[in-house]
Amino acid sequence: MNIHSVNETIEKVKSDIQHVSTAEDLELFRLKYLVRKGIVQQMFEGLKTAASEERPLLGKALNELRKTAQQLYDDKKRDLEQLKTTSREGIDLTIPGRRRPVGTKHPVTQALDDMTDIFKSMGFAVALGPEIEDDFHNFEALNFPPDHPARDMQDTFFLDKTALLRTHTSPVQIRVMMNRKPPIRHIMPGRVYRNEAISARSYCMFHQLEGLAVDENITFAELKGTLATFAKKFFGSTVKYVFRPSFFPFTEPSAEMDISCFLCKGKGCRVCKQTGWLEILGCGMVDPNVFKAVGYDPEKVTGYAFGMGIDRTTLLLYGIDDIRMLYENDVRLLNQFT
Amino acid sequence: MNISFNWLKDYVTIPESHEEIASRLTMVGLEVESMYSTFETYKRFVIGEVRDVRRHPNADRLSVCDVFDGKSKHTVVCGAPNVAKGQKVVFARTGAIVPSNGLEVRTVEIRGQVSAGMICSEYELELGEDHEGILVLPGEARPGTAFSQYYWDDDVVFEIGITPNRPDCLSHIGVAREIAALYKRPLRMPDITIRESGKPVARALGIEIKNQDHCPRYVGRLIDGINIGDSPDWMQRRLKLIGVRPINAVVDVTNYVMMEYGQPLHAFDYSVIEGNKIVVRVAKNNEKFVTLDENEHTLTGKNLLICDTKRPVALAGVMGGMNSEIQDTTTSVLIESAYFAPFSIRHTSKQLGITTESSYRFERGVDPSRTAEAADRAVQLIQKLSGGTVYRGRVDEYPGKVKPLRVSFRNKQVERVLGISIPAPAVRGILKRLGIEIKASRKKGEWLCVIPTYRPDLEREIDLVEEIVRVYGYDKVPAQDRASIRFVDDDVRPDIYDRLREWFVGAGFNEVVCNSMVPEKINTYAGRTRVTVQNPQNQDMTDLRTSLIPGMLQVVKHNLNRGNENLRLYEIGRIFSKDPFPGSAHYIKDYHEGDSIGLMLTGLRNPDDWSLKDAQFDFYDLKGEIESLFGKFSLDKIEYNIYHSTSNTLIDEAIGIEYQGVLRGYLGRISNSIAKVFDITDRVYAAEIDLALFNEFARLEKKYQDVPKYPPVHRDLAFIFDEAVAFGELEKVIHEHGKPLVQKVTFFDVYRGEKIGKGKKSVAVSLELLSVEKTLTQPEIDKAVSHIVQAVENNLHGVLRS
Repeated sequence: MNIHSVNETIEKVKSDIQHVSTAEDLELFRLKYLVRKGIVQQMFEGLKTAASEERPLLGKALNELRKTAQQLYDDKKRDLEQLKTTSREGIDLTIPGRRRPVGTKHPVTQALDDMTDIFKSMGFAVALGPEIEDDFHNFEALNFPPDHPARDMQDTFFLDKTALLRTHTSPVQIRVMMNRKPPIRHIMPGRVYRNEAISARSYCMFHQLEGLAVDENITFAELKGTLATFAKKFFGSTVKYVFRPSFFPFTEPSAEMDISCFLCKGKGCRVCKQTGWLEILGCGMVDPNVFKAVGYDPEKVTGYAFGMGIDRTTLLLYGIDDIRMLYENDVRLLNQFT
Repeated sequence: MNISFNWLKDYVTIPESHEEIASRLTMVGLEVESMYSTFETYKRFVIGEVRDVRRHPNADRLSVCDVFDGKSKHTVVCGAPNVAKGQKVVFARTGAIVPSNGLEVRTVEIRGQVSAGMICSEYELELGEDHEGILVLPGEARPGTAFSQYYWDDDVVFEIGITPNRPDCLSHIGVAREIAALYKRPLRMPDITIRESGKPVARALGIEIKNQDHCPRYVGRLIDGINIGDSPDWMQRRLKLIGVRPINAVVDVTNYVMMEYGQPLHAFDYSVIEGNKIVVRVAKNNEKFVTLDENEHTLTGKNLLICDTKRPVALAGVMGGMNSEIQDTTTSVLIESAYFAPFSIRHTSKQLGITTESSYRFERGVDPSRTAEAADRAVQLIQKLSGGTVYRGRVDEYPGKVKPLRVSFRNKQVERVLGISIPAPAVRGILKRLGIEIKASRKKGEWLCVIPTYRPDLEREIDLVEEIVRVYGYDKVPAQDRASIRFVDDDVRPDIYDRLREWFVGAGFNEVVCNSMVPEKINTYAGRTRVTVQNPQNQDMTDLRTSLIPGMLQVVKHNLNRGNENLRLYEIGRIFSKDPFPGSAHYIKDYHEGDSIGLMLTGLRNPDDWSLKDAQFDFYDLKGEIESLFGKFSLDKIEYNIYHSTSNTLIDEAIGIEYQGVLRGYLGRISNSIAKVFDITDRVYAAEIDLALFNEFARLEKKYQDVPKYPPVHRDLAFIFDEAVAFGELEKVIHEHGKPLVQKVTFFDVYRGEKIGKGKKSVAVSLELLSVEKTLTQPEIDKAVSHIVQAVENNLHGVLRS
């Protein structure tokens, strides 16, 4: 090794880097010169055997070699990184593409769709009904006698003496039953109206999903199983549930179903008011008076019915704290529900 | 209903903590919605003794007190004029939260004097209105005793949501009875003993019931020579704790007994009752009566009145009258305890818009068997509190005797309805604990159940099934993990709503959900007969929407105000009218409703596409969306015609969407007149189509047609027309005369200019010609094209531009 061979190597390094155009080439360059077993290091090894008077000059040249190789490597590496973002023709490939807008379903529709899918998978068909109802379908046939305090449970918007805006989706039960014979296995989604003060927690209109099954051997145990399955599919398999006695004129026995709060896992939080439980639906066995109103024989068939509010569940699911936000339709909210 | 936990202990021995009782009650249908405990509320409030009172060195009206709280002495600055050495007071230690304002008591410096704690007034403790001075307790109060214990005996209030079927639980005895049944404990009723020393009541009081359907039972008792003062502390505290304001001893007793028995009572000043007689009758039409809240009511024959021989003195079961109210000077009292029919009280309460604790209970049903007992209880307490002489006996008019209902019950129904069998002995046990007597029936497998009169909700076998499972435990009914489904061979059409939404999502629209109730001022533009709400919540919700467009405009406005300027919106929802409209259905007399689809575009065509930075939506964007939508549902016979409507003023520059000659929708630019209502200046394009069109005519089932074997040929033509000729006319003519070869006519340019003359335009189209039988030859193509050119010339006076 002499000063000449070192200078030659410097020239070689310079010409080699010219041919590097990809990351793979660059790696080969590094392996050739810059690793411990590479040419540069090996030439340094040779320094030990060089004549002592040559050493200072040789050492200086070798340092120059090492510096040059490393510098060229670093520069090239940076160039290649830049190339990744710029095509050869000079187009800036990092500018965003021409995006089409992304459409959305309203969060309430989405929750309703998810619920509907679960019940469809359990053999329920979908039925719809009018939003303008009469006293018979909305109250009387559902065993709300005239002048009964149970009517106070639902503040009603009236259109005239008998016509009203339905206060629940339950009148669709009556229409379905009057239109067909058992067996019945239907869900009935739709919009309902209550003349209640508007606040962050309640609105004068919301959506419900009603369910009805009528057949010869329908029992409360089956109702519990059906709704427990629904709850697990909708809220997650670890959800706990409890059925509490309650009162609805059109079911007897009646129950309310609570599920363990899915936000705090039952530990207690602001949403579940520290109880660990969320009330999600009302249900029960179809009252014999309802069967009589639609011409079914309560000695022959039994049935269950349930109903749940979609909007409030939607709020809980997504942590929206004001129900009015759902109907303002700010696209910055809507666009989060892709 | 607020229930005091300590009060319950008067009637039943309670075996568990208040938390356990609350959860047990909830699990049998008496939902404890919230709990309030005095020891939480009055944490860090103790009895203190004022050991010294000095003038505040820097403030005339303040004093500096040393208060001993049982453990140590605290120096407190006090502003009350009545504070004095030796007083027993309520002392709030630092860290206490003041009930009246929710503020924490801290160590503070008041005009240079450190004050560590607070001496409380009645007002601050929420015990009364007095905030002038501090509350001074009797001398025997022991310093250091927790105030909650001293004053409230550490009580808890359950707020129970009593469902309308359980009037029996609208009282402490009622809830205690439920607890007694659940825990198999005896129920202890109050021990009523009265010293009767007056003359027989029948000599001093007559009762006549004229309408026994409204009033099956009326009990009256008299007491005179009483001296009305305030009720004693124990009674005031119980009433206050459950939210009843103490008034005077007699009124407090009637409230107390109502909260105890669930029987509303009324006390009359007997000295003003004319003729020593009570007459129960319905009002005459237009009869006027002033209730004790000083409101005058106009009555009808459906309202029940309590009268003396001359005039009405109370609105039965709802509210007493001004004219016979108990005064502090009253010495002679008539206690009324009645059973008014629920329908009657309900009607009056609704009609007059008055709900009272009394009407609330009567309309749900009080126990007709305890009417007399409640009157006795009241008289007992009045005598105890206010002295006086009780007339002997009571007048008890009971013409509409209520007999306990007998309900036949088959235990097999339990299994049929619930899906589990509960052994007969267990069922019997539950029913008996609920006070239901079981008698043998002649029929096998059936019992006769005698229902106590306090349970008007138990009328049928199914009601008993519910009672049984309620007490047995809903949680003991297993959640069955299977169901048998019978297949019903319905012709179920695929869900058109789902499919529509799918398309809209794919096309980049945001779904909106708007209120169906809208103000009149935006509801008139669609030109349909409005449906109005009789009792709207406010003036912005007087109508049911006749179109989706105004509601969607409201959404547009809301978004524009917030800087969201580029909008692609759709809504699928119900619209209403008093007249039929395309796609409407009719269920209820005089009303029509139908689902509608609304689309709305405004702002930039594609804000996320930088190369189209300034492209605003225009009419053809909307029309294109509509055409694609119909294409998706294979609705290919849609016709678009210029839409002129004098009644619908929602849209200008509009195209009507027709199917089989019927108008099913429209599209165009939002009219200035409605845009003005919303103060929208941006251009908004909107369409509305009735959804039934899709339900009826969308071709969802797919049919395959052979892909053409032979290549299509394209020919471009340009015609010069008068301005008035529309492209649609040209398209029609070409299709008509280009059969069967012309497959498609595509518009590609319109030119106006000097070259072709004023009032003229050149329209360029591209034709696609195709034969399913063979490859077209040049002469065949030429022939077809010249036929078309001829037809255009003949029909539209269009000249082929060469």
